[in-house]
Amino acid sequence: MRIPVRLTLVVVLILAAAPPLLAQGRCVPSDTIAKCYDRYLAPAFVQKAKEQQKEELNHEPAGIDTGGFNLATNKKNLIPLLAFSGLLGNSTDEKTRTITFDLNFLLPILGPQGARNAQLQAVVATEPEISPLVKNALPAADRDDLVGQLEDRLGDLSDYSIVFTYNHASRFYGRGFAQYAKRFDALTSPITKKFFPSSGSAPIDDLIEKFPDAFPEDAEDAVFEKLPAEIADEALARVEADAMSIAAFEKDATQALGAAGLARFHQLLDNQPQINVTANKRFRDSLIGPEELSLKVTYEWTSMNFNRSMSRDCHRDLDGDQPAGDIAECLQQYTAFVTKNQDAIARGNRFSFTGEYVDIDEDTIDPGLDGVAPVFLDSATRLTLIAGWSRDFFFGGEPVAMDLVAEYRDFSDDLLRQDRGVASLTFTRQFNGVAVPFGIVYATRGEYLPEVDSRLSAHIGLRYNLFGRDSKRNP
Amino acid sequence: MSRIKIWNKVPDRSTLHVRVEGGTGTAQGILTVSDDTARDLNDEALRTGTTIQLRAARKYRLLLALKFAKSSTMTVKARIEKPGGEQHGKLFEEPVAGTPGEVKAVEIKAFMLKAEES
Repeated sequence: MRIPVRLTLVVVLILAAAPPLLAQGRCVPSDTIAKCYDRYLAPAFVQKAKEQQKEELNHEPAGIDTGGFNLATNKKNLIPLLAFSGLLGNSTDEKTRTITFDLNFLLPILGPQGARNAQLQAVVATEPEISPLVKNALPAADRDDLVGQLEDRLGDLSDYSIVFTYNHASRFYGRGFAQYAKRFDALTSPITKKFFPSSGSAPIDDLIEKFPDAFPEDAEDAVFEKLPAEIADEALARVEADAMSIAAFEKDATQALGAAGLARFHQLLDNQPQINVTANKRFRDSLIGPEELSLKVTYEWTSMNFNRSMSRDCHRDLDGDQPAGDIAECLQQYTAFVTKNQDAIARGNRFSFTGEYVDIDEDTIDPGLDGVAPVFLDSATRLTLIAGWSRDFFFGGEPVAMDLVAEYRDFSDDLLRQDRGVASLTFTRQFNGVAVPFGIVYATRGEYLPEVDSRLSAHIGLRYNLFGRDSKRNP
Repeated sequence: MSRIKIWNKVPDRSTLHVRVEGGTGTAQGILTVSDDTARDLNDEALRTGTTIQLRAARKYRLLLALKFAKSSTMTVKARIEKPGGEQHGKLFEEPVAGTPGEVKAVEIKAFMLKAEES
């Protein structure tokens, strides 16, 4: 059997050109074709990727957000939070004593393809409590007994809310990758294409084509030493050459994407502006309190975001089904922006603003007990404004997140509450997936700080990310 | 499993089905047929699933580049269906992990039987 001289020369040249890769372990005659590829491509890289994910988690700064979601940092993407709760179907919150039911699946309304950004939920209080106004109106001597009687009159749906949440997703708003996939692909494809191995045959192909009966149907299972003696050595050398050319392609293309700033693409997406709107209608038995309607809007913004990395024309041109315009020029803009702003992209200033307006109905609370007068409540409104500023920095070589949040609550006509202002400064440090926040809180009224009477308090805590990085993935 | 799949002695008029699922990133591919023609496959085609008609006495080489925007795992699924509907050889399903900006390759090949053998 004669092996063509030209192909042998190609194999020899490839092997000679890749000495660094050979250090990872040469293929041996007892290998299958697949095992030979694995020596150059698979196990080390998968392990490296897992280690990198863990490392990224440990260095991911945490912090406080103003919108009220119970997750750290305003670097989060709000849409997966909707998706996450949507997948649960219903959930019980021990702290607030509520059960949440998702009344429908996420709706891809008013957003681009792939952005499922709306949700309707019902939140039911499992242990509704009698209003303090009613309790205070009861005779002190029999209060506990009478409260128990009134609570027995409450039904299962004495206190529930219908909540609609919408996260605006468009070409320039939102943090889900699906919205930006076309632009990522348009920027990366020309680079990757340059490094594809020659589009013709790989060195092993001609051998399989010429000697098909020597290989099984699933040819990657072929063991070199079990191939016919006259082609065994040649097959091993050619597979090894092919594996090395693929490994070289991966290395070169990865380096090129890194040099173009595309390894930081996800950081730019984490900095994209996002708007979240929540409307909440709360239905309550009069004994618990009046009905409420609230509207909350949260806006998050970071200066070094993907929108700013290219011109608007580039964003539009690269976002089509077929990328148009001057892709090279757009890539140049993107790379220049990332190169110039590397530190600011990773640790820049992030701002969050939240406004909430609550309209409380007028109500007459009549407990229906002898000797207890009805309580009349006027309608009331409540306005809450919250502003947050976050920035990451390194302290002793370790990442620390700083969050400054200022909050003002205006309780017009609300008999139960008075206006107040609260400011908090929190530093959060990550230790192996555990976030340790240290904070200082100042309030205009000391009684609103938890468990203290003074206006200034300090606290330290622990927070653990049970769900890992994947909890933030795109739906 | 491995990031290489080679189907040998594939009957004429079989179909190759390829699909990329999951992960945060995009995929692109180049399909070469018998060294003569090359065809680009974009992310949309690979995500929705692409079907390639295979003809006798040819060889097909599909090289996929998985480009990761964030640390995640993409899964490449491929199979060959014979003209009668049954599967040729084994199913290919390979999860590939990557980190931001990383490119990972998956190579899929099909060597066809000659027409008189099919």
